[in-house]
Amino acid sequence: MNRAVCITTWREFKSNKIRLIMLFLLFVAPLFQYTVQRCQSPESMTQDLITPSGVAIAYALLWGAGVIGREMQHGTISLVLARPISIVSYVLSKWFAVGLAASVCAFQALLVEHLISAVFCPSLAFDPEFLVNGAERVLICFGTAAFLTFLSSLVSGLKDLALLAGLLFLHSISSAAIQILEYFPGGRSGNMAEQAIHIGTVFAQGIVFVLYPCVPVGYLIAGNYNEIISLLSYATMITVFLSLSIFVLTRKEFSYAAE
Amino acid sequence: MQPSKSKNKGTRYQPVALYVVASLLFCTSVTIGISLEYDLPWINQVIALLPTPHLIHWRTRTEAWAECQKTKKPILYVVTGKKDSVSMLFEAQCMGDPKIAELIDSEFIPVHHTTDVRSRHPEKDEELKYYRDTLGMGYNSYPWVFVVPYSMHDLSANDLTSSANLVELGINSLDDLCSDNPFYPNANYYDGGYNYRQHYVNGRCSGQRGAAMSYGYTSKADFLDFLYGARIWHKLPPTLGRIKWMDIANLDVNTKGGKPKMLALVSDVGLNSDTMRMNLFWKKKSVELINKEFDPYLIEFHRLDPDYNKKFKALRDQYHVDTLPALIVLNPRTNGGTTQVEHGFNTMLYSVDFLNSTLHKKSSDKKVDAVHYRNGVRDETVPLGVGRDEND
Repeated sequence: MNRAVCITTWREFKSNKIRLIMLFLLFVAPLFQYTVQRCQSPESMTQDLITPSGVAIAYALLWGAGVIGREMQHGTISLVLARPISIVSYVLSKWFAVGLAASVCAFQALLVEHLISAVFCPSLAFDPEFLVNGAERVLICFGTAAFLTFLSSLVSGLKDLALLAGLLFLHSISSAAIQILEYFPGGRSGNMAEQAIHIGTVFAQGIVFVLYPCVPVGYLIAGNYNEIISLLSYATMITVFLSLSIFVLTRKEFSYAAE
Repeated sequence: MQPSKSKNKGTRYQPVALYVVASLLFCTSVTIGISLEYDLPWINQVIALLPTPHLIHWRTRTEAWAECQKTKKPILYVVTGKKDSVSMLFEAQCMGDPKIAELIDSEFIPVHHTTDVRSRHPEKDEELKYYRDTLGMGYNSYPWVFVVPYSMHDLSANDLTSSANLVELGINSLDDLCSDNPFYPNANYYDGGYNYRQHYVNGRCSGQRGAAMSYGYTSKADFLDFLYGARIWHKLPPTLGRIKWMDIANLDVNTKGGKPKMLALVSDVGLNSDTMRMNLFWKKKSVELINKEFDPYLIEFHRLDPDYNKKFKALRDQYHVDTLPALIVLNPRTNGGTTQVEHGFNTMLYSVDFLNSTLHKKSSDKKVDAVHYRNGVRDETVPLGVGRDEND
């Protein structure tokens, strides 16, 4: 892990006004929504109105889009790698910087939402659901950061977002294909169709986990050890995407201001 | 200056250890994913090894039916999904909690069924079929919990989820109950009733519950709340409304020149009787009409008390009542003194129309035994000699 790479990543984000505005909106939007909800429904006063942990994906996207690709586009990656930094260290630092920054932002937003709920209903202050949500957010941030680091290592600039959109499209297509096979008259009866449904389901579930790397921490705390499988999937996702990212970058030639 | 003896790694060195770990994890995850999808036995054996506490003494449905007659405890049906994450959380947090297990064992006769939510042939699951067809369990509503009082295990879901007790329904405003708005009848069943709740997790709805049925899961506290309500479900008597009921002992006393007699035959349970109690016996319009124009008598049918039902059976046979609830009006001054019977209950306005019609004098009316109405319409299917004469 290289401290300088981490700090550079954070500084670069700070200099991007559009991302800062989007981060601010992401922080404020749920607060506005819950304020309206509290005004409309008195029952909401006794509920811990916190955004689902999935919102952490948006924070990770803001921090992680083009995390390596922009350096490739500007040509600064060749300058960075001219210093005594290995690609392994560079990739891990980028991943850690994105994951940590997104986690801090996501947790901070959660903290504010929870504090507002606790002001209206003090008994909610020690609700463990809040901490579970926080832990899930941190895990999602690091998971998504690993995936974005991989996408960003494939292409320059912000083209990784296009790859992400392509993956979403692929998921929609595969889900639709499974549904057609399942509900098409006689679709289930054929052996080939049955096999296609099984393989398609495994494939679609894999994509879902990549897009939403959530480990249900609450389940694990409650003693539901079946969810260890999702913890295993999470570890797989992190190691595989970081490995792929390193593998891809070690085989690339970097020239100054290539694009 | 001596060069450092430490092993310098090049910029493009390959982290073999990381690759190996990633490959192993990937292979393991893919194997587990495929095994779960194909429901291979080995993965179920491994999952079974993982600790999951079972503290509740579960019974089968047949055992529960036999036992509930002896112990007079309600049956608690719990259906969970085998590969459903919410069901798994519910089982870990609630079924594995000693306090909840103790409450369930002491207050209910619990019946548990686990079904494969991703099964491509759910129709083969006979238990699930029973819950869906008879108890109205919805699709993909896991975990699903339903309480059935011991006296009602042979009734349908509509009757089981209905109540006419204001406390059980959680009604705290009589103004709403007496409101005359015909478009908002007083609801007495779970999904429109006053005890209807929606579960929310982090602001999103994750299930619904009434007093008798719950699906989805949010928290242990919410489930405990449901169990405490389910304990008393159908243990309290149904409402008598705001009607000034007369003493049934005076029913046979001939009040010459007095008000016509209105007999309301209602059951102590069941959706239709409950609907009549909640609407006709409470709405301002009907209550004022009945209290002003009639001498009202309430004749209740108690499912578990044959001795109590003697009077009811006599009246039912006398007036050929085949549906509950029913309204019978005995007005010697109008309609040639014909008895008028309304079978069943549709809406408060239908019944008010029926009651008003029994007050009108018709010069052409001929004396017959009884005239029958169903849903506000004259029932022509009642055989001659029962309520119609040949020229009617």
